[in-house]
Amino acid sequence: MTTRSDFLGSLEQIVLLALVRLGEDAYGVTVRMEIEKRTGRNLSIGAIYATLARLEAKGYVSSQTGEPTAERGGRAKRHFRVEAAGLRALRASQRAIENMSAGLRKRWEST
Amino acid sequence: MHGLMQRGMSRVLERLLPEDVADAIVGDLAEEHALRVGTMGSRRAACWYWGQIVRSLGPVLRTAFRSGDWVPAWVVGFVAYSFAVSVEAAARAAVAPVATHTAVDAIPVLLLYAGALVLAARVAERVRTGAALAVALVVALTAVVHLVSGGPMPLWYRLVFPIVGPAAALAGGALFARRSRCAA
Repeated sequence: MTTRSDFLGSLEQIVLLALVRLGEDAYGVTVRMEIEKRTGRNLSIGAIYATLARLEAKGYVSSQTGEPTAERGGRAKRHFRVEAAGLRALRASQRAIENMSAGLRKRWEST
Repeated sequence: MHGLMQRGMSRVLERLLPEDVADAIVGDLAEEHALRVGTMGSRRAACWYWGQIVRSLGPVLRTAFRSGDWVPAWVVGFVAYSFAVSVEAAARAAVAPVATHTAVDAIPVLLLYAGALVLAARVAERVRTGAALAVALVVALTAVVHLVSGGPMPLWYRLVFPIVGPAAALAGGALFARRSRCAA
């Protein structure tokens, strides 16, 4: 049985999917750009980090600080990766959407 | 100028968020800004940068509030703000008997209020990290309310204060941060 807290918001799903796609190279800049490239949504970096903080608090994502680099003004990257619980929540959310939208394609295409 | 404002923004983020998260956000913005300077030119890249800052403030503030670390900072900030407001009220009362009933009467009040805000925010920041920013936000909010609703002070005072007030509070916080860095 899926509990209410297992459901992900649409932005949470998008960010998790970006992390899965990017793998080892997932940090703020690449996540923001990947989402912009694939969805056309120009999200603010603050919105990305707020979503990642929520996902991390739920145990769906973990992060670690990298080395500071010169092109970042001596600031370190924060790398993110999806945990097993995050993948389970993502699958459950995707399944819920698929189940809810099954058989409805004709209806919304006719409107 | 852009570099100076970048550093100022970093300080604000560091007050709101854990240091490593603020570091990562500022670094991400610097990295993508450098990429965009190459593709769209420095002026448009600067617009993109500041657009990102403005749009990020809402989510960053929400995250900071959710973390709960902000409650003590707000309490300390509010006490400091109350002190500065008391100084302003006392200054107004002191000026009243010798008032010339011109707009000039408000100048010493503004100077005393700004000075009290610098001092109060400096002490508040010492008591609790982030309290100076809380003072600046409360001052900005009340200054905008006074600007819209009117009040006993002349129009120039109400127009200038939304800038001078928060700047004085942030300067107080920055003074304490600078002294801490020097001591370290």
